[in-house]
This record gives sequence, C-alpha cells and structure tokens, in this order.
Amino acid sequence: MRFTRLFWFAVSILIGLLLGLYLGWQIKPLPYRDVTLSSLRSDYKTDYTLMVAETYSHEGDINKAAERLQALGYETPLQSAQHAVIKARELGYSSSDIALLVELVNALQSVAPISTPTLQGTT
Amino acid sequence: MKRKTASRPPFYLLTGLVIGIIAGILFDLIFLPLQYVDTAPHALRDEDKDTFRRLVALSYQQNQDIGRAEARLGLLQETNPAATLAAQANRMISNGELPQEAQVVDRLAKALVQPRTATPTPQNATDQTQVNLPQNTTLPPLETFDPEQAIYSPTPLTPSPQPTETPRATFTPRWSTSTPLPASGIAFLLEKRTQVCNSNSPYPLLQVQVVSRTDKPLPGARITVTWESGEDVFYTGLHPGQNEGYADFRMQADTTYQLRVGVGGELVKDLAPVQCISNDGKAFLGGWLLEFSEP
Repeated sequence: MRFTRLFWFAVSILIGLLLGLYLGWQIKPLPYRDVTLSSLRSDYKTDYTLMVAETYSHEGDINKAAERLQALGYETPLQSAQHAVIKARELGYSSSDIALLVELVNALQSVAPISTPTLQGTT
Repeated sequence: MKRKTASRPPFYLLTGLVIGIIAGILFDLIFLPLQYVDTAPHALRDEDKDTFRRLVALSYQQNQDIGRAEARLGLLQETNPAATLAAQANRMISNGELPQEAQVVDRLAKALVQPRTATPTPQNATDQTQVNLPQNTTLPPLETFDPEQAIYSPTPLTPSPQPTETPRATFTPRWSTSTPLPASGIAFLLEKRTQVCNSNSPYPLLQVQVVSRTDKPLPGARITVTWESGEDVFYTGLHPGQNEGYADFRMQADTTYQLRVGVGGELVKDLAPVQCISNDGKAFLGGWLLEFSEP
C-alpha cells in the first residue's frame, strides 16, 4: 500500500514536471520584444556590421568598432565581420558596401591577426 | 469510530503535481530559458534600439544617404523616428555621453524632418563607382521576410552563421537607385481609399496613386509599407504601362499593412486584403487603391 502511494506520488510529480516544462516553453513567458542585438537575423546583423564599417571608415577607431561588433554575439568581432562579408556577398550588396566590410575585416585582422581562423570565402 | 481511509481524497497526488509543475517551471527558467533567434530590429530592447539608432546616425554622417538612414530607422517601426532620435540625443547629453555622438544623432533627427529636393547627378562623374552611395537608396538587400520568423529555442544558443529562413515573396523593386527621385521628400496626404475587387489580378494589390497639387501624376514619391515583422520601400513612376504617379505592392493574405507616402506623410493603417466575390460567385482576395496628393 505504501509502495503504491509512493509510486503514484512519483508519477504525479513527473506529470507535473512535464506540465511545468510545457508551461515554460509553450505559453511564451517572454514576449517577442526586449531581445538583444545578438538575436537578430543574420541579414540584419550584416547590415548592422555594415553600419559599423561605415562608421569605422569615418572615425578610424578600430577598438570602438570591435566593441560595437561584440554586441552581435559572435566569439570575436573579427568573426562577426567575416560572417558579414560572406552574407553581404550572398545577398548581393553593392561592391562599395562589401569594400567597406572587407576594410573592417582587414583592420580587425591587423589588430588580432591570430584570434580566429579565417573563414572560407572572406578573401 | 475508525475513519475509512478509502474515502480520503488522494491529496498526495495533487501535492506531487504541484511540486512537479513548480520544478518544471524553475527548470525552464534556470536551465532552459526561452531565447528568440532570427529576430527583427523592432523587437530589440530599448538599450539596443539606442545603439542601433546611434549607429544609423553615425553611418549617415559617413555616407550622407538619408534614404538609407530612413530605411534603417524604419526597421524599428517607430511612429516618429525624428522625435525618437531627438529625444535620444537629449538623453545622451544628460547621461554625460560623448557630445559629438549626441550631435550626430540630433543632426540625423533634423535631416529627417527637413524637406528634401532631388540631388542632381554629378555632372563630372564619369566613373559611377566614385559616387559613394547614391541618394534615395534603401537598405542593402535583406532576405525576404517571414512574419513568423521568430523561433523559440529552449537551449542557450550559439548563433548560427547560416540559419534557415522561409522565403516570402514580396515586392520586387523596379527602379534604379542611382537616379535621384523628385518627390521622395514630400509628406503626402490621403485623399481617397477604395477597395478594389479585380478578379483578373492573381493576387491582392496595394495600389497607390500620387498626384501633385495640380492633379498631375507625380513620379518618385517614396512609399513605405510596414507590416508586423517587416518593411518595404518603393517609389511611384516605375511601373511599366502605368502613369507616373502609380505604384503597387503585392499583399499577403494573412497580413495587415500600414502605408505612408513621402517623409512624415499621413500613415494609412489597417490595410489587409478584402474578401471579394467574382461574377461567377467565386471568392477571391481584393486590394486597396489609395489616392494621395501633395499638400
């Protein structure tokens, strides 16, 4: 009798656990807002990186550019810029925009030449 | 008297269930928090929106391309981007941030509300690549947008460089961005809004007709269409076979749009495809004809 009660108690906890997980995931406790820059879709990240590149070409401050790219959530700012170059080519950015992105990649590489391996398609 | 244990409700089951639910929710919150990926700029938290706006202003300072700056700010889906920018500039100054950057933000706010005229094509520009970025350009190409693009993930994410995205057919630009457009900086007012049921059209259209003060069709009027999770910008006068003041946009069946013509023009809301019945009794989706005029 005692064992039976314990068994059903454990089963009810398990059912409750599953219900709790479902409530947490499916009832969407987080509204679709207040997200961070790192959660942006890749094409928006690419445009963000282009803005950083445009600003860098004007300011010439690579540290500030790196700081801004850090927000995109990649391991390094260089990786972020490299991804942007690849995506920009995929999406058909103009050559002047791609040139700005490549300039940013080069500048970041010169600051941290061995921080990450170069991704394919960035050169 | 001995109580019969069989008649007692099984409270231990309820207790177990409650313990399980609480444990499940805590587990979600601590170990498997929901994270959104592939989001759009309008969903950003306020702090990141500030960062985004500041970068738009800084890049505008470099390229002086107000069209591109406007399109980027449009991604934030704010009703009055110029006022938001001005408020941000004030906030930056009061927070003791770099006054130069605050000035840049403020300059963009002012540039947005200034009436614009066409910029003539440089007379001596023999090499087009020397012209940095043409006026009235829009954003660099973005992928087509799926309104349901927000994906929930129960695990902490490592951003993927190549997420899979659902293609969505939208407006195909028909204009050359290198040509200055004469009426892109005017705020237009809505004169008439008419439902259009055209069974010959394979899809519902948002048709826009823009005329000048003298009722003449006006080319180059900038039209911004926004919906829950996206935006598109196009211009009048570039539709083959139509008058110079005409432009159209293909609507999706399950989407509601807002439309504005010109900079700071009247915002037309609640534009969704309408149900129509053809002569032979078949149901189909119709669109809207919006007639704007120069104030």
